Amino acid sequence: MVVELFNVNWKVAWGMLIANYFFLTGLSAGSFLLGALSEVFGQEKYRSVSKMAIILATILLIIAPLNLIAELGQTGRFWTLLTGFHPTSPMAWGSFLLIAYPLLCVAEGYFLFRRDNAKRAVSGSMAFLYRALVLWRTDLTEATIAFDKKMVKTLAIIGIPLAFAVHGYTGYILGVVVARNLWSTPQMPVLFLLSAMVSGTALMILIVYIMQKFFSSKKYADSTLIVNLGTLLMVFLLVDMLYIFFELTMRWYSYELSKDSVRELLFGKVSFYFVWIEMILGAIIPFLLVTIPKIRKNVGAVLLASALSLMGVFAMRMDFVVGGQFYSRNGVIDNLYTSFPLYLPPLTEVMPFAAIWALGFFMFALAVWTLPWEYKEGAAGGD
Amino acid sequence: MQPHLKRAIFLLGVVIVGFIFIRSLVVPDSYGQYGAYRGDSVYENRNFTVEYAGSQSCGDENCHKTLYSIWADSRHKTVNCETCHGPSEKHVSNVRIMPSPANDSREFCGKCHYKMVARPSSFPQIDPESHGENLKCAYCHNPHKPWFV
Repeated sequence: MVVELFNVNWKVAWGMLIANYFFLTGLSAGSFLLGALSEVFGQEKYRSVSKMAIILATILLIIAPLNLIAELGQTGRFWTLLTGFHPTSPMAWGSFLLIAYPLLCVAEGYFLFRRDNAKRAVSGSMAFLYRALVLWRTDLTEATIAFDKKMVKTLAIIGIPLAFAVHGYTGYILGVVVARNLWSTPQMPVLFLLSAMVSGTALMILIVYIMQKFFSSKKYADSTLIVNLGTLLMVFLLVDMLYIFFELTMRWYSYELSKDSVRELLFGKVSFYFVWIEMILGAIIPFLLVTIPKIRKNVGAVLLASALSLMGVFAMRMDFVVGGQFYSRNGVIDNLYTSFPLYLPPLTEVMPFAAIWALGFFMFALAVWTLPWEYKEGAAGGD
Repeated sequence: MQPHLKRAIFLLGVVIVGFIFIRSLVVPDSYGQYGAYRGDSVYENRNFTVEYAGSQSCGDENCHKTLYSIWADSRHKTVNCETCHGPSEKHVSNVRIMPSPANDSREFCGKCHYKMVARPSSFPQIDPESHGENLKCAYCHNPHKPWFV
């Protein structure tokens, strides 16, 4: 006779790696949608980030599932998710989304970089690599270039719902866990998508600044672009904060258990992380930095706002993934985790975490070293 | 159709066909026979030898009747005999074969009773550092009737 089931051996079953996975897919989806602004919606002022956006979206989504594989107890068995498909399991849908989305990013990148790659494929020490990157077809006529442009747009249009799905599903798998008060709400996917836009824009600002300032041919960062992206960041931060406000206040009017989880976020054990790091330092201060008229045109302020909001979004992932596990359906649990810090990730999570980020940086360095990521006025090919 | 698009579609086709081919090789034959799992696993599990006799069999036939009635009334009634005493099917069918001694280590009791955040606060939990001076739990507590110290 089983009267109650509760966690026997694990304190925090989903730790830092899951939070990192959510963070990385969010960054990827955010970057992709930012790139789609110019490709699909014709926002010309963001044209110059579209190549960087597709590089980031691809790499971040290649390294993101590695978190899940590292997090499995039996890492060698991850492929059974693909062979044993379960139609009513959100995780099974996710494993296919996680394959379809990077494939689409690679395809879009192929058409986006094809013109530049084809030019480099003719001669030079690395010509072989570029020939492989254009699949040994170096046709460059008016027709092919126009066609590439159309393909990029088509793939970006298909990619928008796919990016929503691949990141929305991360919130979805939290939302379907009925046993956790904090997670169990249909708003979860939307909340994750909105913060994904914040983090994607923030990362793009930092990357564009660093790459243009130190690694481009001009060694000069385009401050108008940074300020424009800062304006976008302001909009996304505003929407994100409004949504969190709606979520918290409506849950406060909701049933007692739901209210409890909000009370814990605001006044309980996670409150330091939620109120101070996630909301004040990670949302309100960056929002002010990119909103107050006198400082919003300042590149330094925008960069600081980006770094802070990136940290805020990572804190949000940790608060919701780890913090959500502190409160079960039985009500607020009040023991052990009372001291600062609430949760220390074990070494088995810290090591893969560091390795995955290192791999990401390595892949990014390789990508910007080989691919013509720089936007050149008038000379751009597929873009 | 543009020739380079043909190349790309061909490559995508190779990837998809390759995926379907490899998948067809590695998916077990009996997968999906009863549901989204390997049908053969049902037979494999059925063919395992039975090792647990169940708590009922301990109290039956006047073997451990007194202890059984004490346990069945206690707050530990949801913890089966064999959880601590180990699998006893052989012992039930032949009394001369003794089951292995009960696990009475602190860690074993602690699996349920060490303080942990994910447990309801009303559930009895102790801090192993400060409680019991590293003595075995059964030194003070009666595992068959907790609270009866």
